[in-house]
Formats: sequence, C-alpha cells, structure tokens
Amino acid sequence: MYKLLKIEWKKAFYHRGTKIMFLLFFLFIIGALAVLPMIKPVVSGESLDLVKLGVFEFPFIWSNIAFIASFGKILLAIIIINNITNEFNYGTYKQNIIDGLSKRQFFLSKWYSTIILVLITTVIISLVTLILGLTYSNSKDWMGSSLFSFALLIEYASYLSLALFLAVWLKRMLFAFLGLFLWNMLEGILQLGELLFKKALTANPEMMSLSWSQYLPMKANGNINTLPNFDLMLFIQTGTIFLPKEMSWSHIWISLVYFIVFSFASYQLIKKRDVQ
Amino acid sequence: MKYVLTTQQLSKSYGNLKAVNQLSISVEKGSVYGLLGPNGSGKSTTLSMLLRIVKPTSGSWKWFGDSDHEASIKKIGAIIESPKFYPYLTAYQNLKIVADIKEVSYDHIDQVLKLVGLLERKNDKYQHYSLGMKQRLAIASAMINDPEVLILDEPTNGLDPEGIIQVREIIQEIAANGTTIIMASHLLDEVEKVCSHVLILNKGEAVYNGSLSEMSITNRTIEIAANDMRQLIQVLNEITWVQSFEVDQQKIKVVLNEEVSPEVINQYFYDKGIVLTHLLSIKPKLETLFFELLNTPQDV
Repeated sequence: MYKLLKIEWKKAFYHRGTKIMFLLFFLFIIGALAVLPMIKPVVSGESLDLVKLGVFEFPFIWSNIAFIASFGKILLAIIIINNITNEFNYGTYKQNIIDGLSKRQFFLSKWYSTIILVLITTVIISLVTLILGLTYSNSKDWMGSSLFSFALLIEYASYLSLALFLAVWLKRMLFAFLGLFLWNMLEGILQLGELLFKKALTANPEMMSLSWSQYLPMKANGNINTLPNFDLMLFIQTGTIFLPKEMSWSHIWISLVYFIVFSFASYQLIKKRDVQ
Repeated sequence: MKYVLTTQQLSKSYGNLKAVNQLSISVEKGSVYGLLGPNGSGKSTTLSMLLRIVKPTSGSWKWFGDSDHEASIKKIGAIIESPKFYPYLTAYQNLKIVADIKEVSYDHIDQVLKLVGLLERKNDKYQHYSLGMKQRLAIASAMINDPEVLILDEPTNGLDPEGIIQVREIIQEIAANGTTIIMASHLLDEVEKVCSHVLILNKGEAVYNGSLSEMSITNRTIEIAANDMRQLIQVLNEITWVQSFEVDQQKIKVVLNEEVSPEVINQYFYDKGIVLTHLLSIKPKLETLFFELLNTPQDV
C-alpha cells in the first residue's frame, strides 16, 4: 500500500490542475466559513447576523458546515476524474502495466488515494468546524452532532466512488463529466416519474412522499447532508433559528452500499478489459 | 537456460480476424531478435500478449521457463508503440515513478540517463522533449531495472536520420552487454543492421523463424552476363537448379534453388559454350527475402 501511495503521490503532487483544484476546494470551504460570520444579510428591513442566528452554535455547527462542505465533492470529483482519465489519455496506464504494476495494483492505487483524499478533507473540515465552534459558540457541547462529519465522509466517499467508476468506464475526461451530469439528470427524471405516477394514483398528499427514488445513488448521496432545519417562528420566540437535525441513516447506509458497488465495479472493469 | 521465451500456439482473434495464429516460437538468450512483418501482421499484438496487456484467445507463453507472468515482468524492460510518460513531470520524476513500480533504487536513474545521453536534460519536463529524446528516454526507462530482456516496438519510428543512428547505437551497446533484445520493426534495413535472429510474421502466422545468416545462405542470388545474352537466356531456361531469373539490361539476375558454387556455375556455362563476362554472387538483402517469404507461404 505504501508503494502504491508513493507512486500516486508523485503522479499527483506535481500536476498543476490537481494542485489548483485542491487549493480551490480549501479556498471554497475556508472562504465560505471565514466570510459567513461577516455576512449580515438584510431580510425585510432587519439585518441578520449569522453568528447571532446560531449558525456556529454547537451542536448545529456540525450539520451546518457539513451541508456547506458537501458541495465541495464536485471539486474533489474533478480531481479524481482528471487523475484517472489522464492515465488513459497519456497511455501511462498501459506503460505502468508494462513496467510491472498489476491491474489490481493500478486499481488499488487509485482507490487508496481516493480514500486518503476523502479522509484528509474530512479531517480538515472537522478541525475547521471545531475551531469555528470554539470561537463563536456559547454552548460547550463540542462533540454533540459531530457524527455529521462521518456523514460527510460517507457522502464524499460514495460520490467519489461514482466518479472513479465513470472515469474508469468512459476513459475520457469530458465523457466522465458528462456522465456525472447525465446520471444526475436521469435520477431527476426518475424521481419526477415517481411523483407523477403517485399523483395519478392518489390525491392524498401524505401518500405523495417519495419512496424508492430517494435511494438512487446521487439522490441518496445528496440526502445525507441536507439544508439545515430552521424555523423563523422559533427565532422570534427564543432567538435561535435552528432545530435539531436527525442523521439520515438510511441514506448513509445505502450510500455505503453504493460505495462498495461502484468500487467493485471499477475493479471488475479494469480486470476484465484489455489494457488499451 | 537456453531460451528466455517460449510460446505455445499463441493465438489472438478479434471477431473473425485472426491477429495472431498459433504462434510457437522460442527466443534464445543473448540474441537480438527482430520481429518483422507488414502493418497488421500481428507484431504489436504478439508483444502485447507477452507483456500481459492483451489476453490471448488461446495458447500460452513462458518467460525464463516460468509461467508466473507477474514475477517475470520484473526482469523485462519494454516499450510498446510510442513512448508514454507524464508530460508535466521531468524526465527524472518520470523515471522515479518507473523505479518505484519496478522496485529498484533511484541510483539507477542517472546511469540509464547517461546511457541514452539525457543526463544533462534530466530536469526538463517531458513535454518539452523532442521525439528523439522521448524515444531515448523510453529506452532508459525500460533499462532501469537492468532487464534480462529488452522489448522495443518500432524504436526508430518517426525519428530523423541522426536520431535513428543514436537509437541504433544505443541498442547495439545494450546488445553488446548480453541483454536479449526483441525488436519489432517494419524497417528491414534497421533489422538487418541490428538483429541476429528474425521472426517474420504475415497475417498472424510465422513465415520464417531463425537466424539471419542462415536465412541468407538458403536464398542465393547470382548475377551473370555474357556477350551473347540470347543464348545465355536459352540455357538458363533449361537448368534445373535455377528457380527464376530476371533480365536487367546488360545483366541477368538469377535466383537458384540451392547453393551452387561459382566454380560449378562457371564450368557449366563454359561446357555449354558460353563464356561468362560477369559472375557475381549476391548476398540478398533482407528486403528481397522478406517479400519472397510473404509471397510464398511456407512452413517454418
């Protein structure tokens, strides 16, 4: 494993695009978090202070930041897709195999580095969350709801395993990005289909909730870290806007299954296909 | 161990097309083996199978008498088609990756870069290299584990005359050190200059497999002339050991069935009343043999 990571590190470290994307990712996360305390949006004539609203209050900060950070998965997917499709594009995948790397080792080198990328980014985001919480929060319930970092980890891992799969399958950067985009659209269409189908069957709004389509890979992934629960009435009454949020375990577990499925499918693709 | 490579009935089909058909060859240790054939004759497919990047439809092969291909690949250095490296990395950084894969020390990098004359340019990015330099870097990369067998695929493809000479000299230097070299090429001249053995492929089948010198001996060509050319042609038509002949202005090029010494030839014509004004025994060029073999399929 050390050997494979050493090889991957050399491939990625000097790649300008990877460095830029990685930098952008942290600029986006840290930038968003650094700017948020300063933003005081004016809503119906009243200036709102995000700090006063309790965005950075423990335990809500964990789910709030996980929600913001979850958008960063797209930047991470760009890094992974670019890294893998380059190997096909430069022909270095073939040369790596000729030089003595086995197909299994090649897959593992990509898989390990994806996992390392997910772990590093999640740890950094958790640290930033902790620091911001310690700075702005009045509550001392530091680790309450910190499981949302775990939820973020699963969201990144399953999303990137899909990116890995598309990169290995389609081999071209543009195709893989299009694949990600079309996949998302297809799930949207399926979800719409389910809605319309249910609407045709019943007028009862309680029966209208989504069932199977929310467990499609990208939908389940996006449902792990959703928009925080807030209530304006609560704000007027008590001064805090956020409501406690439940971990969406069903989406986490199904995403974990997708992670395993896409990882395994990528490995099988590499194993079964001739090296070209 | 006499052979570094043996293949048994190695075949690869793409649909109905038999890219490589029942290829059984063996490569002697220390030889420079030329793999010849027109485009699409199965050279690259054969090498790709031997380097386990294309799965054969049937048949098997052994490197160093061992069927564990993952283990044997560590003793081989190879480049297929064009050189392939990470363009954004320097030559040195690229070779560090190869060294990691082959599990050899980085100390070898400078050695192989020196061998191909790129030591001074080692910190230049690969994307700024000329084609000749890329090709030489590929040879350096293949040599990094000091392989027992070096496999090259069209190593002088697309190079300018100077680049061709540089690469040829490097290959000869490597061969002189006792490394077995398997080289695919469609440049016959190239193979003739460098190789000791040849395998000629046509439509996926071996049409010749053996040493280059033996190949030349079995295919004799002579050039003759006499004052009375018409009489000479008449006599030629009657001789049993003449396979074919071709009149070329003042001379006649004759291909013989078997090796006949100039003495015997001269005597024969003299007995027929013809005095030869010109008798030259030509060691045929590989090119001639190559096209003859392609036109007359025969068993190896």
